[in-house]
Amino acid sequence: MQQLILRIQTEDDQQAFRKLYQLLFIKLYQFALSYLKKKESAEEVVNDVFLRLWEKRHTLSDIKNINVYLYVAVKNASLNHLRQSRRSAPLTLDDLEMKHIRLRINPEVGLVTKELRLKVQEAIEKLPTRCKLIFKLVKEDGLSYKEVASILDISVKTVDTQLYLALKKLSVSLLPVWKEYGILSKK
Amino acid sequence: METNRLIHLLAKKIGKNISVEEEEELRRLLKSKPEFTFFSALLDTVESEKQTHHPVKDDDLVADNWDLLSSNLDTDKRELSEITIYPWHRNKGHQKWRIIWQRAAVWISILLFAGSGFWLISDNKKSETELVSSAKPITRTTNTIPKRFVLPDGSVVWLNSKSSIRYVENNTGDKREVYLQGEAYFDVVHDAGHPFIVHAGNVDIQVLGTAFNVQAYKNEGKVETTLINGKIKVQIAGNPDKSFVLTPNEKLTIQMDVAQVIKKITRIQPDRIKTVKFKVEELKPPVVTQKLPEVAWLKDKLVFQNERFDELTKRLERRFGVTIVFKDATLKNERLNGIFKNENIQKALKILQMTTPFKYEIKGDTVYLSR
Repeated sequence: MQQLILRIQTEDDQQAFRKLYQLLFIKLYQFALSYLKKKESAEEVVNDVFLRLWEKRHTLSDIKNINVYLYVAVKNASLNHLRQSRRSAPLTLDDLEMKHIRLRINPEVGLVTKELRLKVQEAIEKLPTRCKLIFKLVKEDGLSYKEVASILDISVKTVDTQLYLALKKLSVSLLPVWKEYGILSKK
Repeated sequence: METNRLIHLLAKKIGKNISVEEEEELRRLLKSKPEFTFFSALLDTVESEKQTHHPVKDDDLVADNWDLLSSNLDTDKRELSEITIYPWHRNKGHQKWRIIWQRAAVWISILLFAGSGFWLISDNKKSETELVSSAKPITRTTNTIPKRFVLPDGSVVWLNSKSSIRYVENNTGDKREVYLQGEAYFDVVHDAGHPFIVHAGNVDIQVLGTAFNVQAYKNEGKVETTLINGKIKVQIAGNPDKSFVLTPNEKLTIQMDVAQVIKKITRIQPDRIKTVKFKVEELKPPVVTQKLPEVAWLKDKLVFQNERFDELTKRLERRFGVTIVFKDATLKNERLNGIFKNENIQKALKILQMTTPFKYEIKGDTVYLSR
């Protein structure tokens, strides 16, 4: 990715820019969606961010971490967008919470039974949004603890704790299910 | 508790924040608590819900948005995007512009073409504008560069290759009429007192608005109308009660099965039509006008989406002036996507080969396709 950035900066290389775009669009779009609800808004926000990135292409080497930069830009642009579309009412804390992350079990994976799948799905849905978001950013988007911490403006320790808490909650919800399905080892 | 430690280590593993010693520890713990192996496997399968239900659609989403973005990357194209987006962009200021549009149809259309079509006018000196009058009623293009014509009322017509239009001076002077064979893009000056009518195949298109594209190649047996702006009414000749009104970005396809091939450029006699099938589709334009596949030829791009190979070759034949023969008939059913800009036939074929395996042989003006 560093190579791409170099080419964009020094050669105005649109193809390289396009590759960067293709690598990151979906993740950033999903991130934007976690703040906004409408798909078109999320698309617009991400495109705006990339456009601004292009406009600053000659100073790209000043950016230490392009991932963090882009995620933060998307976050800010999303919040701005929310602010604009609710001109009268100020943003509530509730608005700032990422509401729209949805996690699930990959449907192609065969689980023991349909009920088990449903129970797992339920357990996942019960997780607090922040847990889910961090889980997604780390596992799916491949961001490091440090990067997630910078993007969400929390400490690395918090990231670590949140991830741990997510798994702990899941294991607790699923324990009775495992018992039912005889997955627990006979002690 | 050991369980908590295990969970913590699992979390670190997921976060790729785990050291070698910790991994060892994790392995040990998992051995003593095998149910957590199942848990770990489960976690591996957790992912975010797909926005689109199709992996291919994800790519489409990216590609569509890239198209939108890339048209803004070159600042000299920015003015064009601003002008062209207004008439139909997501209800923003739509009403306000409609009045200006009607009065200034010619003005805006010139801008559109001046911007998007600059390769046609400024770069390509061979492409002059021809005036059409009833004295010289028939106009034809046989080469591959679309040609621009101005009709007596100021409407502009772009003819694609192997197309012809005939302008008819109406004796009673209450209508403006053209007969079309082939493909053309119309930008019509609004004049409510004198309806503009295009006769193409067995279809009559009455213009209630401004710009639209008609594709009516004789050998394809169908007529396609794509409306870019304004409103048009499409009627089947001889069936006045079967009419459709199209609004922007709708495409009407009319399939005609005829008992025999009609060689003249006239309306097909209604009693010879066996079945006429209609389909009104709503098009999702990736971006502004010029990018709709139906009018992409205006910018000298050949755009095709999920098109059958045999349909595509008809367009390739027109564009490159060659004949294409399928030695292997099964190739005809292959579906292709792509965009051609300035390639010659060889390059185009090579590009197609990247997605669909086939062999080609060029002998003079003919291309032979086989597996």
